[in-house]
Amino acid sequence: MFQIDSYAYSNRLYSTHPGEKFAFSAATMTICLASSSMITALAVTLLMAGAVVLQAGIPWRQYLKLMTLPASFLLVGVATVAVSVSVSGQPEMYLFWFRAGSFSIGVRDQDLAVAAGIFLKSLGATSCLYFLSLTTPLVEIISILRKLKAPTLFIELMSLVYRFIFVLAETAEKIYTSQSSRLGYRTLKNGYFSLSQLISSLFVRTLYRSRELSKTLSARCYTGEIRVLETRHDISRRNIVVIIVLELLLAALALYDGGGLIGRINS
Amino acid sequence: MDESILEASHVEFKYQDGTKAIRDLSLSVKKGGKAAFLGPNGAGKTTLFLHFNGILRPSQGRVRFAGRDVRYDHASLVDLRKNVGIVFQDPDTQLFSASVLQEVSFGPFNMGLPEDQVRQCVDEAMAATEIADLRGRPTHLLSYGQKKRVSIADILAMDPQVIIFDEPTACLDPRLALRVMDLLDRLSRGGKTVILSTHDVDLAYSWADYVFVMKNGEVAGEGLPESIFQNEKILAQADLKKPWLLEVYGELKKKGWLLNGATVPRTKEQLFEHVSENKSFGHARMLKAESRR
Repeated sequence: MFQIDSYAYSNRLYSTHPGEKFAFSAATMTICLASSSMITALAVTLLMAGAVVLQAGIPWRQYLKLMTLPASFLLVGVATVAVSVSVSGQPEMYLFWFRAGSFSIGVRDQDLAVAAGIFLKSLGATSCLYFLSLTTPLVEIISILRKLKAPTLFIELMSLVYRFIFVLAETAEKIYTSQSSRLGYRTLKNGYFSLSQLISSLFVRTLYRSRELSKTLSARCYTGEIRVLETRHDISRRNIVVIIVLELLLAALALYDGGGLIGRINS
Repeated sequence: MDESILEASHVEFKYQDGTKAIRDLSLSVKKGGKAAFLGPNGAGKTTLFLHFNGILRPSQGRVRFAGRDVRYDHASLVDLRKNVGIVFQDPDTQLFSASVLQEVSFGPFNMGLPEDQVRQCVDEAMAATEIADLRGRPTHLLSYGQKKRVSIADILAMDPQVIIFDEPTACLDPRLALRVMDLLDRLSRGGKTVILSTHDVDLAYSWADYVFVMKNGEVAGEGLPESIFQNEKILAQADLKKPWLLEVYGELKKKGWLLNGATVPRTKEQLFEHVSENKSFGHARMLKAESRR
C-alpha cells in the first residue's frame, strides 16, 4: 500500500490534471463493466498496463507484482463458478470430470466461459483502479470527489484517515523496533505477547492522538468544517482528445465483439 | 512598549482528577516582547500556553488579551485564536492533512478569508519558513525538520499578533535550530510578540528580553535574563543550570580578568570584547611590573 502511495507522488503522470486521469479511469472501467465482450476486458487490461508502465513509468515488474495480488484472489473466486459438483453426474455436459464416491466433480463448458468472463472483467476493472491509484495521490482523488459533491463528512473522514494511517504505521513501527531490540519477538510465545501489547498501546495512543489533534485544530479556529486550498492544474486538450478517442475505440470494440453494451454473461 | 498583551491573573487549573496543573498564577507578557518560559517538565508551561489560546479554560482566575478578559463563547474564541497562535511541540499532532498546501491553508480559511487572500497568506508563510519547494509533497514523506517548518507555516499563515512556540528547537539539528531562532527574531522585528518555552538556558539567555521560570504550576521567578540567570536561588529551585556565558563571565570576573565597568554580556561576542580589551590591559600591567623590576 505504501508502495502504491509513493508511486502516486513520483510517477511521470503526477502533474497531469487529476480530472483527466479520473475520467480516463472511470470511463474505461464503465465500458469494461458494461460490456460482455472478453476481448474488450482484455483490451482494457492491456491498455491500462500500457498506460501505467509506458506513460507513468512504473517498472513493469512492480506492476506485475501488484496485479498478481487481485489476480490470485480472483482465481480463487472464479474457481467456485467454474467447478460444479453434482450427485447425478451427466458426463456429456462436462468438459472434464471425475467421480468422487457418489459425487461427480467437473467443469462444464458454459461455466468455464462465465468464469473466464468474470475473471477478465474484474481484472480489467481492477487495472483501471490501479491506474488511478498509481498515478494520482489520494489528496487529489479526494478533491475530485469534493468537486463531484460527495458528502463533506465522508470526504473529511477520508482525508483524516489517509493522513493518520501513516502516523499509526510509524508509531507501530517504532513500538515494534523498541520491542524487538529488547528481544520481544525471540520466541513464538513472547512474540504473541509483544504483539498484543503493541496493539493495545496503539489503541491508547490513537485515542491520545485524536485528543491532541482536536486541540491543535481548535487552536487554528476549527469550527467543524475543514476547508483547504486545492492545487491548480492545467487541462491538456491533447489528453482529452486522446481519452475520447480511446474510449470510443473501446466502446466500438465492445459493441462489435459483444453485440451490446449490456451484460450477456448468462445467455 | 510597556503595554501588556497577554495577562493571567490568579489563574488556577485543575485536571478532572483534581490535580492542580496551574496554581494561583499571575503574570503579564509585554506587547512586542520576546518572552521565554523555562522550567522542568510538568511545570505547567504547555498548560499555561493552552490557556492563552482559549483551548483550556481556567478553573479560577482570568486570562486577559490586549487588556480585555477572554470570553469563552464561540465568536470570542475564534477572535482570540486569530490573534494568538500556538506552534505545538510535536508537528505530527498538528499536521492533519496529507498535503502541505492544504495543511497551511486550513487556518486562513477558518478565519473566513476569501480564496485569493488565502493563497497569498499561504505563499508568504511558506516563503518565510523556506518550504515553498515542499508545496506538492505529502506530509508523511517529510523529515522531522520539514514537518516542524510546515507546522510553523501553519500559524504564520494566520498572521497572529502573538505566536507561542512550544519548545521550537527540541529534536532539531543545530543548523535547523539556528534557522528557526532566526525566524523567531525576524518575527519579533516585524512587530509580533513571540513567546517560547525551552529547556535550553543558553538559548533563552541570549534570545529573550524577559524570562519566566515556572515550577509546579507557579511562577518561581521572572525578570530580565541578566538578573534571573544570576539568581542562584531561582535557578536551583527550577533545576536550571546557569548559562555558560554567565558562568564564564563570573569566573573571569572573580579572577580579575575583566575591566572594571564591563557589563554583563548577552552574547559571546560581547564577552570576547571584554576579554580582548582586558588582555591588552593585562599585558600592559605585566609590562609595568617588568619595568619596575
